[in-house]
Amino acid sequence: MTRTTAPRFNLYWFSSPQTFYPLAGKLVPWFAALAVILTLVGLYIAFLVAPTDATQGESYRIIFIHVPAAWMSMFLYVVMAFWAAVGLAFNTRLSSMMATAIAPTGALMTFLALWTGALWGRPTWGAYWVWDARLTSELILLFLYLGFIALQAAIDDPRRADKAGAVLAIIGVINVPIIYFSVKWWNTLHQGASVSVKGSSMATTMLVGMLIMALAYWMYAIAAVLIRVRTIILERERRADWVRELAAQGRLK
Amino acid sequence: MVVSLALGTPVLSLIGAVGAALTLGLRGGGVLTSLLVLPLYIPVLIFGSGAVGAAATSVSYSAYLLLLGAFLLFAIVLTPWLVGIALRISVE
Repeated sequence: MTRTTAPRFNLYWFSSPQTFYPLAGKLVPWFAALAVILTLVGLYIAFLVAPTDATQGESYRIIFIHVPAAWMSMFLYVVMAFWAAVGLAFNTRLSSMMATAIAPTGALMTFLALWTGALWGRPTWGAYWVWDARLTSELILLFLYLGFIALQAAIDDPRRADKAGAVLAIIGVINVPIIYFSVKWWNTLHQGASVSVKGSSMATTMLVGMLIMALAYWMYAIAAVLIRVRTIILERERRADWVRELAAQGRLK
Repeated sequence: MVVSLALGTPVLSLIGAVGAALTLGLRGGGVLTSLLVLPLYIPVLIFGSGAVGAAATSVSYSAYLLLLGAFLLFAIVLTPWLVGIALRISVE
């Protein structure tokens, strides 16, 4: 395989696994470092700077873990479905690999949101779990992630696995607006959103801490997905010339 | 209750058809189908049982039936198309 020179600026240059692999490898340490720094700053604000809540006392502090995880769980699903749909429509390999790589991180975020929500619900609502619209739809989201992973794992041919997973992911997108608007459409125990484009009903330090934690989750998710997509690229392209070339030169780190 | 069953059961079958088409010819396809399909069943079951509950306590249950009817129309329009895509992927 001859290596052409990189064009001046071409977004599609990095859309093939061969060119994306080294780029992802260069980006991972940066995102990982940012994730660590932002988490430390965010947790410092969360536990030491932010004031105690007037009605919920100290127990509200789990918001700094809970809300960013819930945001990420929904956002990652949309991103996953987007890449899966691109892979289905244009038959591009890398976008399907991205979708596969995002699924476990999304499932982790969903689980985290449900788990911290249960721990938060116990002191404030008196129950770990209620069949509330938002909790139920978030649980459905977890099953959609798990179904996507299980379906792809069950199909041996990766191309068929990508396409079947894409169909499931696209069907499941309908659940994301349901989660988001569930607190408006139904009378739920779960409170409405405290943060919106128009402003926030929280103290500023709380808001800043939460946004920093959300950024930290973003950085973590990007780093984790890039590491996973590199592994998937190697697994699927292991017979390609460029992988063998890199392996022979010992640059396959 | 008969009406809610009449509206809900076809929706469940249509969703099940998508799940079955996706897992066609796979080992352990049955278990996988239920994992894929059950989460999608939940809304139908919630509103179906909601209609029955509302009727049992003699409050208006038309909203539940209207929602079930909307699900049915959506399912009739979308699922044959999705089954078609899934089958094409399966037999490729």
